[in-house]
Amino acid sequence: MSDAMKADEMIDYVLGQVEGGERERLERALGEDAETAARVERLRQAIHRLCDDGNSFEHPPDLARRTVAFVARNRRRSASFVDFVPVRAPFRWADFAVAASIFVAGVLTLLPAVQRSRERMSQAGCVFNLQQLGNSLGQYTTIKQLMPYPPSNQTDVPAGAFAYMLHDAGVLDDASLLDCPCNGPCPHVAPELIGFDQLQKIRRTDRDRYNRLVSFDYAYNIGYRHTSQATGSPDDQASSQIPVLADQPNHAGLQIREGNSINHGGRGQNVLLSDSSVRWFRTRQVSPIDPDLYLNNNRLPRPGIDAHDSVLVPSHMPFRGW
Amino acid sequence: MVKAIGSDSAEDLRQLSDEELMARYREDGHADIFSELVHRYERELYRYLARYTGDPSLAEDVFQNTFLQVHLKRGLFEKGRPFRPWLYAIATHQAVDSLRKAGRHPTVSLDQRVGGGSQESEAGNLIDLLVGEEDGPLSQLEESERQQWVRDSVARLPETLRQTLLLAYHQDLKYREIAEIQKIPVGTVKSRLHAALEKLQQMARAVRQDGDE
Repeated sequence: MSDAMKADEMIDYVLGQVEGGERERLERALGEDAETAARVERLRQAIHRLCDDGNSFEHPPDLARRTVAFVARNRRRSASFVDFVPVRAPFRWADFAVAASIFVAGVLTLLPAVQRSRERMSQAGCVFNLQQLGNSLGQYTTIKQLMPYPPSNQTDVPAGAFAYMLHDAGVLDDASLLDCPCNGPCPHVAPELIGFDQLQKIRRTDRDRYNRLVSFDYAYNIGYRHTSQATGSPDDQASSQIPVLADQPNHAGLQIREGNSINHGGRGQNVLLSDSSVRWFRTRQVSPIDPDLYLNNNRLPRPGIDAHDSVLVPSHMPFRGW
Repeated sequence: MVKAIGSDSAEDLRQLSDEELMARYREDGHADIFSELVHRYERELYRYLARYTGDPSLAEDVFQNTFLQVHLKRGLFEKGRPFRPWLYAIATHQAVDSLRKAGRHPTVSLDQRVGGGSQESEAGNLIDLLVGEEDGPLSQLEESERQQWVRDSVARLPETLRQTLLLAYHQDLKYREIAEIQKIPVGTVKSRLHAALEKLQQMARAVRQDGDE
């Protein structure tokens, strides 16, 4: 295509669509470029041949006068509502109000669905946390041949110390896994995991920090009382599905309250079992012979009375129970 | 001095733009102003309607009904908007209504181009198509035969393309005015116009092929 005139401009020029300074520029360009001028002329003739129908359609005599008279005769005609429908409506607050109402109705319709979707995502996040912690516990058990449990002379340490034992064994580095996403970010979750010995040192020197370090969203199994009356770690030989970790119970200080976990608004709790599966329980009963996940069969937040009695206490409560 | 509207002479009214006349008519509905507007568009609008409807007597009725609508809808004419596209939009709607009542429905084809290549490359292809042959495919026809072919072929175009071609080629309206009438973007007006010319050229080639055979 010619540099003097683009194809688009050429058609516009021939159809009389170019005006003013732009038209003058194109005419100057055509004056200097005979080849393009000839092409434009051929285009003009081609369009003329395709479109000129030879009709001139002269208007009938007195059409304007008769039209004015026609309108004068009919101007009293009652206008229908269609006559007043504006082609382009000006801004009106009433229209804005209608649009806003529709928007609000849409939002109100969508809101429950969005809320449910967020809950499902949080629920999935909680299950993911427990699965990851389950992997760490599985690795720990492989290395140590037992679940995280303090030495027999230190059973006064809180249940949450299990996380620091996992960290000591090199199988847990991510402290955010200890925060259930369903109850919002936990302000007390440990910002970083430290060694178990260091934790014990902080226990003696900085009680507030210590309390913060052992307060998070999941409850841990504090084992059961053996026939020798000594307490020990849970025994996965007793059953293939021993509860190991779960959403923390509803509690006030060291008292375990009735009802389901507070993490999910009392609807139930996720429980990590010793076979690494995570199940949702709508009640605290996890098996026919273990009626309460958070209390032993004597209804106390202490180690189970036998190998089948699992007790999971909040992370700040001691292994030996309360 | 502010001159009363009723005292405007015909010469004074002729000095005013369409938009000024319409604004004044909207205010007081004076018959002289309306008459001036009707006279201004008598030739131009009748020619459009006669070609659009293909029936001079129907075009006369549509012309009168169009100005009746202008009178009835004068309150809806927005200040600052051009008058010609508004008038043509009313006239086109009236023409479509009349054709429908007369049992002649304008064909609305779904066979319309919607996009594709860039406007520039499409225009380049169109020019090659139009000027590629020295005499053009209609050169064998007598002038009267060619004119009859144009009338028949334009009538066979899809409605939107035909309307755009009439407004741009026969009525000499600018793209922006056509866009305003048809309530479409200027780019779409150009696309439709190019599509109309391309279809006509294809029909013309078919004529020559038939003639050669």
